[in-house]
Amino acid sequence: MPPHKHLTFLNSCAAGHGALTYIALATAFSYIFSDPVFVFPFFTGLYLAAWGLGTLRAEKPAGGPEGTVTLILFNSFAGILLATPGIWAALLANETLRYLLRTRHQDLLFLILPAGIILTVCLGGVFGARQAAFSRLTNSKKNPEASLHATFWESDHFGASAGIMIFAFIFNPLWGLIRGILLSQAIALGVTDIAFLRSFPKKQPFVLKILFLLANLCVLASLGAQNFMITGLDAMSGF
Amino acid sequence: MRFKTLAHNIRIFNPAAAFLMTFCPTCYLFLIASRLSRVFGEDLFVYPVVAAVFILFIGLGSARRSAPAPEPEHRTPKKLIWLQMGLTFAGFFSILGIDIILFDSLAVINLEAGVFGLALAAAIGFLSGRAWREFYPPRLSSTDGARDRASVKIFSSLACAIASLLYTSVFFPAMGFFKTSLMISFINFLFVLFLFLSRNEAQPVDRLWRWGIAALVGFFLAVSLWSDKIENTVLQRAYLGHRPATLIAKDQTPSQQILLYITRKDGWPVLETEKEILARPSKYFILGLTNGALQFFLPLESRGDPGHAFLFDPYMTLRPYIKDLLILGGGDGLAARQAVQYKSAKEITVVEPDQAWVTITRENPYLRELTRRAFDDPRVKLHFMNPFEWVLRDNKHYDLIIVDAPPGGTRNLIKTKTLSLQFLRDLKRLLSKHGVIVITSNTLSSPLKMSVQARTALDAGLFPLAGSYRGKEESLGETEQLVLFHSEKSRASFLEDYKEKYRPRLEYGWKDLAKFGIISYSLPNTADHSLSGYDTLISKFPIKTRLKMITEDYASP
Repeated sequence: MPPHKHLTFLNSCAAGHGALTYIALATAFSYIFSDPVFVFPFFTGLYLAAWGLGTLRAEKPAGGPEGTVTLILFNSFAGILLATPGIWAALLANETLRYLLRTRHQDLLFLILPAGIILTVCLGGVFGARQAAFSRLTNSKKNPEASLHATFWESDHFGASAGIMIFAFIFNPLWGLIRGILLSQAIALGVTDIAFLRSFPKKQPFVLKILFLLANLCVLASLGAQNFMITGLDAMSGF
Repeated sequence: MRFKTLAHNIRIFNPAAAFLMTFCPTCYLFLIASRLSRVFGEDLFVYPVVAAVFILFIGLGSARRSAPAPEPEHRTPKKLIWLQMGLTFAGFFSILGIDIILFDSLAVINLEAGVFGLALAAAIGFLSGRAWREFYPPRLSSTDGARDRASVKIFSSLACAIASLLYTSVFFPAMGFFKTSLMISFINFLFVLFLFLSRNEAQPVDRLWRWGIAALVGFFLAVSLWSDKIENTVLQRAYLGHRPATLIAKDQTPSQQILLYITRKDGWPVLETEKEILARPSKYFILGLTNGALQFFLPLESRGDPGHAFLFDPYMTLRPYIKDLLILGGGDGLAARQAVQYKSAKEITVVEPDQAWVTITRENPYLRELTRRAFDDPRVKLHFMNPFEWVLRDNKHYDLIIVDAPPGGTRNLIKTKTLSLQFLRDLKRLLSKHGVIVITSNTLSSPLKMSVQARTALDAGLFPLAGSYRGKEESLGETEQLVLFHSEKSRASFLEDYKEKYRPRLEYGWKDLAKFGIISYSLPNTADHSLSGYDTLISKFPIKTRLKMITEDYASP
């Protein structure tokens, strides 16, 4: 497969992963806030805004194409590290605060909205930077610019659309929100790990190696903890 | 200074265009997704599907197979104006089109409205993608590339954030769907004008264009002025056909749009004064709508409707110890009207999330007549709070708890919470030892879900019973309810009493219509599987056996 086709495929996967994480986030918050007519537009707008601003980070990456690859990997690992623990933590915090309200009459539920906004903005920024870095990498190849640019956006939009559909019609209905998020992040981690290991890991910066390690540990730990998480939430809420 | 010179000189074209080219389609996406999610009551599917279609078609629209032709700097492509014009019209007809199709096909699961909404999302996505394709390369890959690219990115990102904030906090709460769509399409039209005025000298404009633009300005102004009339006509046509009706009350809050109509039973226009109508209420019907969905359609003189009577009468009659009642929802006062008719009721607590219905019910003379001033009864205690929060906070015990969630909107999440073990456990905590919980058909998203809910109730330590009132001809039709008891013994005792003491008292005809049955079959899985969208999908097909609820009928002759 020619290099730009690899890139197109990876770009499509990355776009799908970003969109899938966004829709999982919105689903989780629509459960938490009980008002999807507010939640979906609000978090969609925030996510898109952060995504757009995140693309600015990839305007001038240092280190040429290698630097761009590092940026892609960095944002991929960061996104994976944020997504599962972030969404699980939001669900857990929601149930805990409801429990506090029920038993001790302490109303701290208002804390979840700012936490949700921060999580959404962080994820949007991270995934936006990653897509922009992909775009930069695609355009730096020695191919007709317009054609590659078009392929990039086609694969980006196709991937995003597919990611949303996969979560809404397969992951969420079949495995539920908690396992659906975890499964999607595990798949994304697999693809990112392969990309990391093929990109001469010894040459990569120390921070990226740490992120690689943390992301793998986090997903492994989440895979082990999923049943405890579900049982815990069940115990508190019957979710 | 001429407008276009100003626009170009102070370098506002790119950022302003990027802002509006993002702002309007984003708002259209929110509008279509919100409206369809209200129609289907399945937000967890509708939003993702609409968003996915929208994104896919943006991608298809922005695809370019060949390199763009070089264009002179600051020239507004004519195609861009046409594309924005197309977006303006697609946005303008988004809510109007969905509503017209929706109300024309109320009985056919609203599939056409869904297909139309998705087609619109696809069209808007495609046009938007095309518009970006026309706008982006010539403007941004030529001169001042990096700086302009950055400003475009910043302003389009800002547009997303501002669109979501304005939509959720200003447009939708203040104006509802239809007027918001008008407002956004008007902003889009102003953008078309902006493009038109900032075009290059090299693009001559003939008289046809000028007249066309003037006509469109007039069109938008006229529609804006008549928007109330258009909205009313669509809704009246849906629920009353060609029967003339008069709008007697209207309110718009962040979560509800309330419309109240009065119409004559004989089909003639309502020309009488308020006094004359109230003097002869038997001649009129009253229609209440919440977010375009039917709240009630009742004769003005009625003292009780079968749906609400069936919510209270069997329990209040057979369990005279029921004194403390909790009604979660029921802001229209019809549940309270029924409850206050029983002298045994000592305290009736109504918890309503929104003040709108209660205010109208208290202030509107027709609704005061319809509800027999139930909210003025000293036994009725009104609280404005999210019922789910109320259940979390309250510690009092009630003998009868009615869960009467409003129709339309966010129904899947109400269902999710109603189905959750915790909600049912919280209800059980508030229930007195011999008390009864009744979950109405408004809260049950569909009768098919009743078996799942019954199973969840069993897990929560409650004992379920399925109640149904099939409805007489010309009445409101089917009413389903899930009745939950503290113990198996109290359920068995209620069924015995119902058979021996209550059924013989029912009027002729009602005996075959009002039934109770123990659910003897349920889905093997509990609450979390109710989240599965496949249930909804399957329920649309004619094969419903997997979800069929079999009840052991205790009430048939």
